[in-house]
Amino acid sequence: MKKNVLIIGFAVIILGIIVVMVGLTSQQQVTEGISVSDLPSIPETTGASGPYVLATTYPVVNDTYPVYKTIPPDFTDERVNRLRNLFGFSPNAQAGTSNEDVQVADGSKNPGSHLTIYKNSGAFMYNIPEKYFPYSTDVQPDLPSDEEARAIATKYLLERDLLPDDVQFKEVSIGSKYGHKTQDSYVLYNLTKRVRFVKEIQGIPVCNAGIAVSIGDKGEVVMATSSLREFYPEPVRFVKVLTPEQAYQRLLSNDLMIMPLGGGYDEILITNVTLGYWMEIQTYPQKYIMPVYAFSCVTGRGDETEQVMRYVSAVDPSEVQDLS
Amino acid sequence: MITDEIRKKIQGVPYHFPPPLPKEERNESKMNVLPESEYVLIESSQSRDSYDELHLYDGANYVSVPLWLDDEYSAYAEFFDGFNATMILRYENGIWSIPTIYEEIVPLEGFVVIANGAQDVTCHFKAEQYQTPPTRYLYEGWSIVGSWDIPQWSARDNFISVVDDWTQATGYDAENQQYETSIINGGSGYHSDERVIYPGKGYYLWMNGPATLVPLKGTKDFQDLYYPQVGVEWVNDYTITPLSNSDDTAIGFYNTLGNAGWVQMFEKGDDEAQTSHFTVGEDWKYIDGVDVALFAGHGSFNITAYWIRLMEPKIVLFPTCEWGDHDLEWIFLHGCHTTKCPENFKAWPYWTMNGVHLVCGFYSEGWDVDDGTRLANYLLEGQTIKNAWFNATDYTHGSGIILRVIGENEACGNDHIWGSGSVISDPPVDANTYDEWWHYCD
Repeated sequence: MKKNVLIIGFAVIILGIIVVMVGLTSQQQVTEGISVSDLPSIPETTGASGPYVLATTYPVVNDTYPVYKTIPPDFTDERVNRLRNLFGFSPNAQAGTSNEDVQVADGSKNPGSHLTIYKNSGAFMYNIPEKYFPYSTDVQPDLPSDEEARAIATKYLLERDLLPDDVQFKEVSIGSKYGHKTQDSYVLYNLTKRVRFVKEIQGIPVCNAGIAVSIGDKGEVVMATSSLREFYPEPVRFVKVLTPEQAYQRLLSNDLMIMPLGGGYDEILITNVTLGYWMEIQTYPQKYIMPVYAFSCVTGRGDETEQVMRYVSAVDPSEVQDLS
Repeated sequence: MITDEIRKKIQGVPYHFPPPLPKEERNESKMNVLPESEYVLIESSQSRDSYDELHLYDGANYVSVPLWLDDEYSAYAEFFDGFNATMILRYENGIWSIPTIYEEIVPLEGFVVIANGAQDVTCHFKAEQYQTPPTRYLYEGWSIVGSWDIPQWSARDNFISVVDDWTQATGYDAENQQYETSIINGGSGYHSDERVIYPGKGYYLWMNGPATLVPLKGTKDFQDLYYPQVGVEWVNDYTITPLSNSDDTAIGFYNTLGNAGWVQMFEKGDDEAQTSHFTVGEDWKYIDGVDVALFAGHGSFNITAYWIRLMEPKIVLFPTCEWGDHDLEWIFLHGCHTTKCPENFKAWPYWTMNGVHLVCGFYSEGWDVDDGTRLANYLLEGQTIKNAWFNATDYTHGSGIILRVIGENEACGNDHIWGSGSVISDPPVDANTYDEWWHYCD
């Protein structure tokens, strides 16, 4: 009974929003020289909170899960020097520090390389900017196959002791592209491939952090990064988690870990729901690592499809208010 | 008890009496209280009947020219040929002077004409293609200034390049020979800085410190390197899906460049962000009136188009924009899917990319995070525009987020911001070509 009332109430709210939006549409600002009929109406400005469609079953989850405390990030000279050595930086490479990070630039080689260590997370990124960021070309770089890319990345990380046992291969995908469009042609070059690895904590995947390697022309590694945070292996304690149904309701009310900057989707199809552990954006501080629901979604525009993720905290704030 | 000190403040801002004209005597006792004009609204409109004519009244007239004068008519002697005047005066750095007959009358500089009877003076302006925006160095204290170009802008907009330094602007009602009610920087009511600065008039402008006055309209290919300009617009306060970090991204970007010497032209947030600031018609005063611009907020789309969302119901459709035909070289669109469809940028009826070198945005969704300060710092460090965008945004965005930069041509990809590296000449605009760079975040 309560559920029906809720559904009817929700439908009335949506209908109300549509009526308001139709009214607002007629008040759109119009640029001189363009008639109202030339402008598309504002359609689904309900954005992320709007048209979710559940197309999967909910996962079976335990009532409680452990919470872990992070180890204060290490950006001491010792660690910076260890990373410098791992990536072959010259002893004379220039280092600088800001509120957010420690940066080392090595201009002794051509092209130069760069290392960033993030102070709030301990995450790091090594790259060769000239080859890692997309550049212009008229020749398709010689990229390895996906299998070769995986082997190159794995070997690279193992040689540097940067691939812990609880981090597993996830996927190979494109890392950067360059395109040139003319009236008669459109050429798109793949410049790098990205190999991603994901960490699991007691069999539960970490969301929003991982290890990745980018591979460019002739199999050269042009970037290696880890956004994983260190944490104490012993849980602080166990916390009760929301049910997947409760998390779904939070999703509908837009109570998200990160808000997307858009919307306009006619429909967002939820294809998978999993429980994971949330690691914050590497520039943010984080004291505890807690469970989160990850909603894998497929959406799009016309025939184009797009994969998007939505993350909802699996822990009610009242459960962890004693954790400061 | 109302003290003299309190009396000589308007809305908390110290009141400054305009300097007396040479040989004009001042009644010191009257200078202990605010003049009558500050209690009632006294304001006169343009002192001319048409854009190319200055109408002068008997007595003192504070005037300026809003455009560059034709070379044959730009010297004082040529401009006032046959005119019956007692005196013409300039005022700069606390000193009155009488210009020589050969000196040039220039925009942004106001001057005083003591006329013998009402008269009209014709302004012979240069052709439009020679009307490059001027700049003017203003000393601490009073200056007499004019506005640039024909449109009428508010004092706030007119003096935005010196917003941290000006406090008071005072016009003169030549018909009634009296000072007008002061306009106060940040003032309200009679003293509101939304009051208009009329082209062709001269205004006393009080500066708390020296600064360079740059017209709101851009300085395309004229003094970009010396007066690079930045402007930002942002929205947090959406009715539907409000955001938290758009202001941080935009203002961080704005202030970081401003602290590095860039001229801050406008920062419009929430309901101040207007469609017209981006679109054909008024964009030259805002987005297309600066060298680099940034928008932070939502992007959106339907089956036929992509657009930027401002506060509901306002949107900015890309085919209603024409960026780069005035000044804009680079724009960062910190919103979802803003560069997903470059075909939108050269579509009917207008070309969004109409001279702009690069449009930096998201192919996929983006996240509501603060990227502005970091982006500005990377630009100032000398990273290329596209690399700075990729680097700064990759810093906070994870797997699944795709960035895309659209360039008018390949060479645009090597652009740096003014003063931090090379910039190519404005590229010819081609209806059918563009170059693009994609970066997948991790």
